[in-house]
Amino acid sequence: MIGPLIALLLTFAVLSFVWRDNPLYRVAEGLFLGVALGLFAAFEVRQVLLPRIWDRLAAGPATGPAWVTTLLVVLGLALMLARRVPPLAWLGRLPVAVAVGSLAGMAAAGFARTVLVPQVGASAASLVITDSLSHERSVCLLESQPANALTNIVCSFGPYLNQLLILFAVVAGLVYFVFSRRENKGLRAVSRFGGWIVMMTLGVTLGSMAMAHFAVTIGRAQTMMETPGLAVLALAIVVLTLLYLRRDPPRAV
Amino acid sequence: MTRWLAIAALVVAVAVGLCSTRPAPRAGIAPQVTQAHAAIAELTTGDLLVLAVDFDPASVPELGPFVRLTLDIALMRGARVITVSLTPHGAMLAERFLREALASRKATYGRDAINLGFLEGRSAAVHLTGIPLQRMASRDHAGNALGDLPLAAEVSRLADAASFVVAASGAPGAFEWLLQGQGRFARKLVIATTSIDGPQLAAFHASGQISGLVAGARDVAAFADIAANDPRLRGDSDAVGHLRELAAQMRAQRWAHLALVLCLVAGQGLTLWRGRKKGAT
Repeated sequence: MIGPLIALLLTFAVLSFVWRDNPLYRVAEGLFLGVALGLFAAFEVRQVLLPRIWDRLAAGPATGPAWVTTLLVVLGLALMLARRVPPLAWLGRLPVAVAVGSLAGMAAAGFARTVLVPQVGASAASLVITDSLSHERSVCLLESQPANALTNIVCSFGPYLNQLLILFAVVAGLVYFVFSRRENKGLRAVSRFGGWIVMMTLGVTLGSMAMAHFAVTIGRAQTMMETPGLAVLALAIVVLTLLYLRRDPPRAV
Repeated sequence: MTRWLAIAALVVAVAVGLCSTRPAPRAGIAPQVTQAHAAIAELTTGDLLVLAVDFDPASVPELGPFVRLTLDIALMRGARVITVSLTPHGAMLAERFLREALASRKATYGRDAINLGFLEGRSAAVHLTGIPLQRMASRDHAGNALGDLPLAAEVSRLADAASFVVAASGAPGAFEWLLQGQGRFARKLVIATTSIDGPQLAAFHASGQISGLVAGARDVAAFADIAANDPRLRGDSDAVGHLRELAAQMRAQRWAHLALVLCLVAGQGLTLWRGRKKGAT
């Protein structure tokens, strides 16, 4: 009972911001940040430092020689702490460089393998890959049974038009963001179309965000409806506290 | 005053949707949702499923039913499950969902499923799924040594799993698994995400890099609908219960959208009217 009550109290405390900025809202905000940071620190110690260092040292040769782990930990710490000694500060850049370099390399390879090549390929080559388009056509026909002449036309040409539109939208979007081109009428029209595509994308994203936030609100409302007594109690506590705080405003110094 | 009116309209809309007893309209089922369900329901006894829970408590209404159903179906099909998370709160949610699923399926922790918990390092953590499990982690979420868990001894590395299922909202999450997991190990990847991230990931489904995509409450409801009617699951899954819960959510969402559109139209109209009035004076 205590857990759901605290959850409901915090929900109403956060929602009280709709009225105006108030101490209850700030308490909830601070609590959220503090708990999140504390949780993260605890996880780092329990799930990262202890298993990665202590367990490896304790396990001995099963996970590699213990001296390798010890050496790496000592070296890492020493190099990071070297930043505090001005003549040796440059040594501190070494572990940072290793970390940033390896992550950047991994990310670059991942992007090339997963985003750049397959996505450019899918945008450009989808018009000539007949398998996927014929699959789309058959799915369209299957979903629009009973078929008539109009659905036949829509299903036959729809997937091709769709792919053409995607390809053109990609090119127009790129043209919109290239500012170093020479201005001419044709390019300006393409760029304007690209601008509209960008606007529509932003609109869709905003709409999706609204949907996601509604889902969160609905989730909280469902929790309240599961325990209506607690919800009323929590609401009463929050409202009474806000009224009490409002009654005695802090004096100006 | 207008702000209060808009908020009141939205609150009323959500309440009406949740309290209404009318059946929700049956959600249209997108092909990517059918594919997502197929990838999970096709698991057979002994297959390994890696389930990444990378969302925060705020996204539980949208993604919680998907994770519960996925665990339910996987355990019912006799698959072994290892849950992981790239965020601390995701690890705690995974623990809760896994304990519930194990209790309802009378499965055993350590033999049928393990929660490896929080994996530090975002992309690097996904990259490490390619190394032997015993080197990747030494303990599970609860602090048990992996050597004491029979399932951990049977699995050589996570990248050998039959499927990766990722339930994620925001970062780190779906993109990390897509970039370092699917791209590198070429495994079946099913992603469930919130409606915010759905449009960005749709392109990866269109290019065939994602085996199935479930985006937002509507798709999760469609996923539950398919599971409830799947003869392979013999009506044994808890899909019907989840479907009822999701139907209420969808009704509320529908009403809330209607209220939002009305507020936007009314707001625009009011601004125009005020502008004209100012111009006239």
